[in-house]
Amino acid sequence: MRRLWIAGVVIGVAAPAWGHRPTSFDAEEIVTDPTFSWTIPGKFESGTEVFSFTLDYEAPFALPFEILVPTAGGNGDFRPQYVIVGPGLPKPSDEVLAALPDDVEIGADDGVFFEANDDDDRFLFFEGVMRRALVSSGSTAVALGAGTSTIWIWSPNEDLGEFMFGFGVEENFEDGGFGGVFSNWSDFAY
Amino acid sequence: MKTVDLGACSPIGVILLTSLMAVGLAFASPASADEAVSTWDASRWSVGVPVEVDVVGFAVGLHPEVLYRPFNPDGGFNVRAAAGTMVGTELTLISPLALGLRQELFPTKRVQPGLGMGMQWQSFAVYGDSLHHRMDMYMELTVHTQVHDDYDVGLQLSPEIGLIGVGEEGLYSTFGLGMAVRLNVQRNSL
Repeated sequence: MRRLWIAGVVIGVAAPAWGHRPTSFDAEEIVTDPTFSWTIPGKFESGTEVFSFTLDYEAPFALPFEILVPTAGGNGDFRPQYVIVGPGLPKPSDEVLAALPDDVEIGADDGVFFEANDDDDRFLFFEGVMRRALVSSGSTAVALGAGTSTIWIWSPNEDLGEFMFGFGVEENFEDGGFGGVFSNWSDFAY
Repeated sequence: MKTVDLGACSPIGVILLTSLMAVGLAFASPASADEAVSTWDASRWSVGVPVEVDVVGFAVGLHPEVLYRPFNPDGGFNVRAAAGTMVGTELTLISPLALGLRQELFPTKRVQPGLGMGMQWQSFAVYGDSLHHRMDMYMELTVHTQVHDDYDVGLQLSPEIGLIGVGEEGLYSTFGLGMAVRLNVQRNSL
């Protein structure tokens, strides 16, 4: 007798994907909780855009920041810059002030952290979820003071290209943050 | 000193391997010991040379495979081994070995749909970076058509889930995605 055996098939439960939680510059509230990690993708289509978002802390908080560019499509040489403006940071030099776009607003009590993204050798990051290579400005820990900090991102030479801005280390998907991942997976996932 | 933390591997790997075994047992035709251990029998073997397109982390190449029917040379239960190299714009994907099972549902018919699953060693040679090794679980949805007494052509769709990273620190839990589409030409009965 030769016939199929009937057996149950075990269905595996999908493993969670840990990493920066995705959000969007189009979101009504871009960062809902600044105490864990996020990634925000963006694209310079005219080169003149200035992207910004805010982080509000009740107490001083230190966390790493980096800006990455995907290498696909000749985008690997793209070098967008960013600045963090807020309490607890050093006052900007004239050189830094000259590098900032006009949109950047610096309050009387604010300081800045400026990432020129001009290192000769930048870190190449392989993102295995979607099998992409990204070049990083370098992950830099910045100690922010209590209050509101604003991050501004721009393309210094009005170059066109895509980027991902990432910050934070703690992961938190407790309130169902996967919705955004799967609805727009290829935009995020690192 | 290098360490291997087997406990760090995702439990989903164990679940999926158990699933694989269950599927195999479900479809395997019982056979006598003599039949299973017979000497070289060309009718038990097939060789396919598919062109593969990886649509996650775009790459194109050849991914040859060998099929062995351990129980019934005319049956649909196959043990599969494959190796291949796919070249892309951001990386070259080298798969030194994939091992799995494939069940063709109507092996005596001209059109043979099939299902399969197994494990695949993936090495991502990212341009400008080092090799990244990973163990993926793959699934297969296949359909082959007999075009000659000894030849089939077929289309294979193979989703992949990265489970285990392999690095200098040993094995570690990871997560990744993949999707391979293969256009296959297969010779049966070597």
